[in-house]
Amino acid sequence: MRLFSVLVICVSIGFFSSCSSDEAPISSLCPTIDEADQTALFEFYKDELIIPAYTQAVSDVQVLKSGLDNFLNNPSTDNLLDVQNQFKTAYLSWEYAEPFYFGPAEDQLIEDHFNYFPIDMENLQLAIQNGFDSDLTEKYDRGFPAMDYLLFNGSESEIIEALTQSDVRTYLLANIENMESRIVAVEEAWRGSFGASFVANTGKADGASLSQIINTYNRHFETIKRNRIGLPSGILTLGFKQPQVVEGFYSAMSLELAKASVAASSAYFYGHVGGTDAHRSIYSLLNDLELLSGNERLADKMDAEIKVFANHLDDINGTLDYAVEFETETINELYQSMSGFVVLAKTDMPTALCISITYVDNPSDSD
Amino acid sequence: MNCEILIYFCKVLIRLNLNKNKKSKSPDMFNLKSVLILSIGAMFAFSSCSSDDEVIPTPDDSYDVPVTYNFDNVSYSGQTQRLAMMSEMSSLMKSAVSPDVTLDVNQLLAMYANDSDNAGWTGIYSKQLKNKTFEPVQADFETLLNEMAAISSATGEYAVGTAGTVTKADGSKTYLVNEKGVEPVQLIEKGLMGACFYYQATSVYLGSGKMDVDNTIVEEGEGTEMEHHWDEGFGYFGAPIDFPTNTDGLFFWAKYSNTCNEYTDNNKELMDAFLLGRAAISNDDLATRDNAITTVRNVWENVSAAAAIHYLNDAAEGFDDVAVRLHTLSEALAFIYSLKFNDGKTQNNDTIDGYLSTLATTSDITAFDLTNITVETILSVRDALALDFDLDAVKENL
Repeated sequence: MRLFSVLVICVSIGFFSSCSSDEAPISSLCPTIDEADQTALFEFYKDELIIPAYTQAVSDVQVLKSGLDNFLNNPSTDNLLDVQNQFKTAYLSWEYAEPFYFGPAEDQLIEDHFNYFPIDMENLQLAIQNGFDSDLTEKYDRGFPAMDYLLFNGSESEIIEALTQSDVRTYLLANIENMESRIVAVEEAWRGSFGASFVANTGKADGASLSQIINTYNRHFETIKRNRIGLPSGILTLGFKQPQVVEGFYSAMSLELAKASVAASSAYFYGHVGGTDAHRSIYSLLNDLELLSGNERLADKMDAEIKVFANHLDDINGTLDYAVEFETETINELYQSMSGFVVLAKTDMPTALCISITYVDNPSDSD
Repeated sequence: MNCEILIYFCKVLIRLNLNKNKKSKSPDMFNLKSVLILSIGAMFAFSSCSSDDEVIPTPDDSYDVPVTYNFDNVSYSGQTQRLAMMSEMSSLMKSAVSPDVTLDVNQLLAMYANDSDNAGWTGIYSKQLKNKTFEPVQADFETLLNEMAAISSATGEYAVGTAGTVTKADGSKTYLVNEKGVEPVQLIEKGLMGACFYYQATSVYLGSGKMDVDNTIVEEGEGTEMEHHWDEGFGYFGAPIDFPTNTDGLFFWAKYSNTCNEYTDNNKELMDAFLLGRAAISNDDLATRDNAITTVRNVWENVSAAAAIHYLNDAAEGFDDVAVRLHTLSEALAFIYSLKFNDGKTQNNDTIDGYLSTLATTSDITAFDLTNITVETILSVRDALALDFDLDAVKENL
């Protein structure tokens, strides 16, 4: 504040002493977005992307829950195979709901309960011994990662034996019930009052719907870059590779899940998954406003870079845990291209839209 | 009258003001008022200058760098605690050479994670070594602590395949080694110097997560957030504030810097970089700070590489004395291993693992094997290190 006042004074000295110089514009102009365009955008996101993603995830979690019940009542190889497949389907559906981490999802701490990975083995054992506590958070002892381990680690007979231990059985049922009740609550809120207020929450202030969209889009993309690629590959950890920290390590779904999360991120950006065409989205907004990054259209630049890292991801074979050890060049290219995209998404786009990035990705723990 | 005087005047004002800013969180109205009065004076004094100069005051060429680490609001008690904790752990582990001493693994693990009820500390500590150790290797150190406790009950002499003690030919020292000739206490102590202290200083505190932080709000006794992080990085070096004039009371890294200093001059290089970086931060000169970060990382890496070469020389020279050979090789392995934990490291993990595997058959710190080592192997790794870390000219002396 005082530095500012001194600068003002110095500038004024300059002014009074006729020290003229060419002045750069103090701030660029912020685009105006019509109220009606905003509500149409939010409505589109709510009805075409967010609610469908939650509806699918709820349904697949419920199928998984009944499959688990069925297996636990009639443990057999066939029933194990069924529940493993139901798990995979539900996990992939979840990836499309994961980006929307605000409002009811945040109220339910849905990420923590669904997909904090890698699983913390010690805490998982404690949760199995002491009973599942739905209020405990930040323990990395639950959700899909716990099932990934319990349903897939070992031979079929070992898994069946482990799952039918009474404490494991109790844990699994409590875990899936916790997941179901939380995701049902999120879906209901979107269909109810939260959905309505989301559509009406126009403007650019922190917490307004556009700010939530831009922030959560970035936040989700950064979790892909950091948790799914950066940490296992060793790029963020002094070159120490940690293949076992990939998402879906035990079910060997890491690559499929990473591709789904990137597809979900793209859907968030373009406003559609697969075939849907007529749509509103971040992409269409940037296009309509004709926002620039340098001399180029920001929307075109982002579109081009999304294709670049999507291509790198397509170059990977097998699983991510294999790739971080043996396809390091592709992984490095993938990570670098994602880092380049973050500059556009997290700096250029919010600046052009005059939206603040308000989330904090890495809380500091100084002592 | 020209604009340079005006620019200088503005610089002085900004400098005064920045310094004031550092002193206190509360607004200082007197200061603002005096600035205003001075400014109005200035408006009249310099009222007719020409216009071509770029008037961008940059406050980065006009501050002093003190000769000792004697800045305002320095605090790194957490780091001092961890150095003391490591000292206590090392003393306890080294006491196990006595046939009468058997270590309790639960105590060692409690010390590592500071479970103070079971750690049996002499001092009082609120910090932890484990949670500041580079996360992917914490389990390796717990494995080594388990091994340390397991071999502490050995009462006989070492033979290949049997853990036990080895004593120097002159009888001056006895060490406890495992069945593969490796001295776990060296791997634990020097390995944690790398994976905890060096890692925290060079990768965490001097990394962007702790450096791209606020540098305006002064916490009494701790400085700004950025100043505090820098001080914490310095705290892990283990040197007194008037190092290297004063070389008494050196802990861990500062001690090994001093060991090789005659040939490397690392003491002064590293201390000067810490002093420069802190002064730069206090004067908001981030470009100079960034250079100091690079210097700290490079010189500190050199300290570790030089220490490794020093011990490899000792091992080659004293090769026929089993105790000297195994003890110094264990130290050398740990200093090489430590090279991995610097975010600005000049050699990648594959290269570092290569040195380790050549010496000890594997790069896995929990599975080193020194039973088939030769003088030729030792010297080949020494020479490779000397080339890679730019110590070729002094490799024979270290």
